[in-house]
Amino acid sequence: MIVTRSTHLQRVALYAAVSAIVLWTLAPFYWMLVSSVSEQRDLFSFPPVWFPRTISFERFWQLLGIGSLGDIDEETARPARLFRSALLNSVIVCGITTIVGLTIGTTAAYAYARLRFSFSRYLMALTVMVHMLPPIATVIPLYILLRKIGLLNQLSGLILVYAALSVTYVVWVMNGYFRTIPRELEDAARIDGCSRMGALFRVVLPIVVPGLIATGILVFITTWNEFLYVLVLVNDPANKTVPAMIAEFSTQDQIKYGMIMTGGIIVSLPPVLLALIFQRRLISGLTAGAIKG
Amino acid sequence: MVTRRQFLVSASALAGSVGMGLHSSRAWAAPTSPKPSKLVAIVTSTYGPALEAFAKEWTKQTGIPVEVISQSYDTTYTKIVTALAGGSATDIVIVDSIWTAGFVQAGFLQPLNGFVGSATKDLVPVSIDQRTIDGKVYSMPISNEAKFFYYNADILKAGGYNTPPRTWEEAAKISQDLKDKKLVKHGTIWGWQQSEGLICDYVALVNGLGGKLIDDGGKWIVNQGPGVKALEFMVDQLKSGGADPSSISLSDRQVVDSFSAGEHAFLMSWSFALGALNNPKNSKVVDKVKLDLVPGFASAGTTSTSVVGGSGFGVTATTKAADWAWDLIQFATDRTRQIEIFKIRSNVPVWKELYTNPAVVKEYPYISQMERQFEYATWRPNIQNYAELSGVLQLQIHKALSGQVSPQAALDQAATEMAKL
Amino acid sequence: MTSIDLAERAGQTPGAARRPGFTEPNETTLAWLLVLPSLLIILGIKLYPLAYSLWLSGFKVSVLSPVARYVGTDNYVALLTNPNFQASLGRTLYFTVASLVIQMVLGISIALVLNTPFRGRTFVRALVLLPWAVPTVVNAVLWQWIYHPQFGALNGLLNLVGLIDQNVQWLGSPYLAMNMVILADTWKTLPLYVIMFLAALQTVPDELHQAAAVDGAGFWKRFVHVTLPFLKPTMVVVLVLRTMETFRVFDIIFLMTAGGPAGSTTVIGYYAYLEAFRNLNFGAGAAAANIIVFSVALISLAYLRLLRTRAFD
Repeated sequence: MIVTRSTHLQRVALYAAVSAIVLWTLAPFYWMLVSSVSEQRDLFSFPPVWFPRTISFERFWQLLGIGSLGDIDEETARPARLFRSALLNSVIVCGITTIVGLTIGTTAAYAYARLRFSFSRYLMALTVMVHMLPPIATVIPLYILLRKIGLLNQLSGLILVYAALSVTYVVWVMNGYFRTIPRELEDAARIDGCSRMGALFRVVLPIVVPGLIATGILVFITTWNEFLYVLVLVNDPANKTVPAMIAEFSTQDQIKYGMIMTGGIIVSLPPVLLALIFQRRLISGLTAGAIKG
Repeated sequence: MVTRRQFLVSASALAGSVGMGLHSSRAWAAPTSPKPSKLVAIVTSTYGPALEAFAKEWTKQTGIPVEVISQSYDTTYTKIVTALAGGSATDIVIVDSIWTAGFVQAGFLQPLNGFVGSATKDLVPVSIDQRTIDGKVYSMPISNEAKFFYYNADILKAGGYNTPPRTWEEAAKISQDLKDKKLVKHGTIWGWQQSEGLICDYVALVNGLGGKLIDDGGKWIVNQGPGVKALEFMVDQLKSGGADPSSISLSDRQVVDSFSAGEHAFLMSWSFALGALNNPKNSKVVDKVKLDLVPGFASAGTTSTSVVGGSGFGVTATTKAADWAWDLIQFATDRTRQIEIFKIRSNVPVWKELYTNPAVVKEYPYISQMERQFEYATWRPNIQNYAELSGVLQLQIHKALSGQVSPQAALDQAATEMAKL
Repeated sequence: MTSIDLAERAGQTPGAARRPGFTEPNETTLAWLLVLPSLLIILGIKLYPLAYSLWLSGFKVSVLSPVARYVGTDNYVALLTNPNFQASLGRTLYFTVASLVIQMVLGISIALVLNTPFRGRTFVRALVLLPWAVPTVVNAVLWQWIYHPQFGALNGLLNLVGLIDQNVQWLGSPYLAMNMVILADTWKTLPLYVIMFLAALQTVPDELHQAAAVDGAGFWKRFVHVTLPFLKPTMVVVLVLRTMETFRVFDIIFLMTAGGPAGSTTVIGYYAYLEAFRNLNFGAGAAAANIIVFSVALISLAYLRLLRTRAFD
């Protein structure tokens, strides 16, 4: 009897704990969603209107520029236009950064993992150390340097800076993936007459594709969310990425929380969806090394 | 603060001119000097769209293209400083009143006296005075901005008051009474977050108590007399519940939203609040909110007080086409366009004449009160490293507001630190 | 975001077992060709700026007075003797320690819960990951809205359940603000801990638990003696990674509190930013940034030492 009761209690406690975890995770998302579809007047009510009386996706259409924008005032239309251009900027910057980072980073990671050359040990360590460097350490000099070469306020300047962020990360992680691949596979390919690069492309790369995807997604998410560099290095509203635009939204004369929450949902959607879809890969990517220790 | 706000003027609204009998065509001769290939202007995104629209018209008349570089307010100062220090070709820059001294010290701006000439007497005095150093005018104001007094007439009426308070002492009494009658939880709400907006209110209150932040010898005197009394007043307001405790974490922009919920009697805010509070989409106090003179202090025998802000256009020292740059500025700050700016964002005009123009007054009944407010307004110190000094003062004032140190101790510390900079 | 050991092992040239005939003559050339682009980027965008920052910190340089004046270590001395900077260092330490302790405890607890079988576990595990993907900027404005003194959901909720009858100034009280920022940060970063610890829990052999249970060990005893040893390496790795992040915290502060109220959330990352980009003292700003780098390097070294001596015993 006692045993059953205690296991019963344990079950209750377990489900209570699980519910608490789910609530804690979802409540802020719920509030973000409610705030984005509620009427402005309801947002400035206390006690808060927990369940919106009317639901309108107007703010979403405004920010994304879908449907008729005819009757919205310029005051709303301009930030909305800037938001769309920021979305495009983010896609461009993050897309290019991810591709460049993966290409340059993977080749280097392969060299460090498989090829013998002097200083390789130190260069690899240097790369990882550089990756640890806090952004604040380089943002002031980069601001001055980019200004000198005329890349301040330019997407290309931002891409350059993000490329450095992503390359070091890709080298670090991909190096780990390459090491998990048995050397014999490559050797076999080379006996069959493949060159070293041929073996890399035909044999090794296909095996690390899952790793490449996980790494690429992590790079994409990191760049998508990056704030300090874009805040300092890009001042022209037309060239900002979405995090900077969200920040800009929140420093207008009237803080339009409804709009900010809508923007927040749109901005969060790509990384959140990626995280959801590639969950397993990301988790293995995030935890790969940590557990081995 | 007000200058941060996105001043968004729709091109379409601009095209349809209001036509209030104000001359909109150019009433002055075009420069005779050779035309430059283009003009470059750096402005805040607050005024960017307006200037772009005006410049388009101007280009049609003169054939000179204008490149408008607009930046968010927070980064414009740095952008202008780095552009001009780096010697990039820029002709016109926006000058927030608190940047004037820094730009002048660095030799970025040229005096405009030769251009403005006697027109200064047609401008609202305080608006041009805050842009003048040693008798030299360094920017042409685009708009006037000041703190005005907003009150919820419905709440006051329910409490048995038909007129707004004339002094802050009276305001405190009314607040208490309204609280006792359960009409409000707190009488006033302020935007006293640790930021520039806090300094604006502090400067206005010090002025209302008959004081200044810096004496004629350039010494910081915030820790004496009115400087301390003003902060004590602020702290008292929070302690007594006269002011909403939320004030300490709201910015001067957020506070307008808070007031629009209709739970407070009084608000001291910029001109844009007039438009925002009367926007039925966002506000619950449409037509309930009225504007009047900011109260004075009975203890100091003052009638009213305020602080001004707002931006101006400056001509760079390095421009090769000062005549044409001025021509554009004159065009963009022309009376008709001033009305456009006012109409769209309740941004107050710089020309005195507009405040008494019958057509304008008819449409904007508050404008004469707004003009009166300027008579009682002061401005923030015109000093070189204003941002840094303001940062020091913000921190210390906020320490007193949050009850960590006494007002006197906070201001003593601020005065010591600021003297070192 | 993976392990430290990768870095350690990185240098070991593999291929000792490789058959000699396969050593291409141009292996070195090829290797250099492959690593060169990454090295150029690191050199140009990381190392050169870092060196420039070190140089910069030795000068009094402001955009307003373009002539740089050499001041030696004055910028560092001025910062380290400035009570405001000292206070911001203290706040950064508080942020770091409080975040890590709370997040470590919650992270392990949640991982333990999610490691227990229950219906819908896969779904809940996927769900828990989501806040991690939300951009910091969005997280900051979201929680700022939740904490809103007048209309905020948190005040509304606590009012509803009767815990408070007057709205709390979550971000308006110097004693609360930093803790509220930590809470907001926790919402976003906790998933990382949970994922890491869930993975680590997979390494605990079931037999050990069963054996301990047979011996009559209670939950707590089993956790301390059986589970915890398997979590230790992960704990150290998470500590290193997160300390580096918390020590340089900037985004969330910039957006949620702007260093206020009364300077109570002005951490060194934000201090360096203000010094450089508000006060336009690039030299002093660079010095403050470098102090962050030194601190992070020191702490990481300390952890690594810990990892070597303790975690593997």
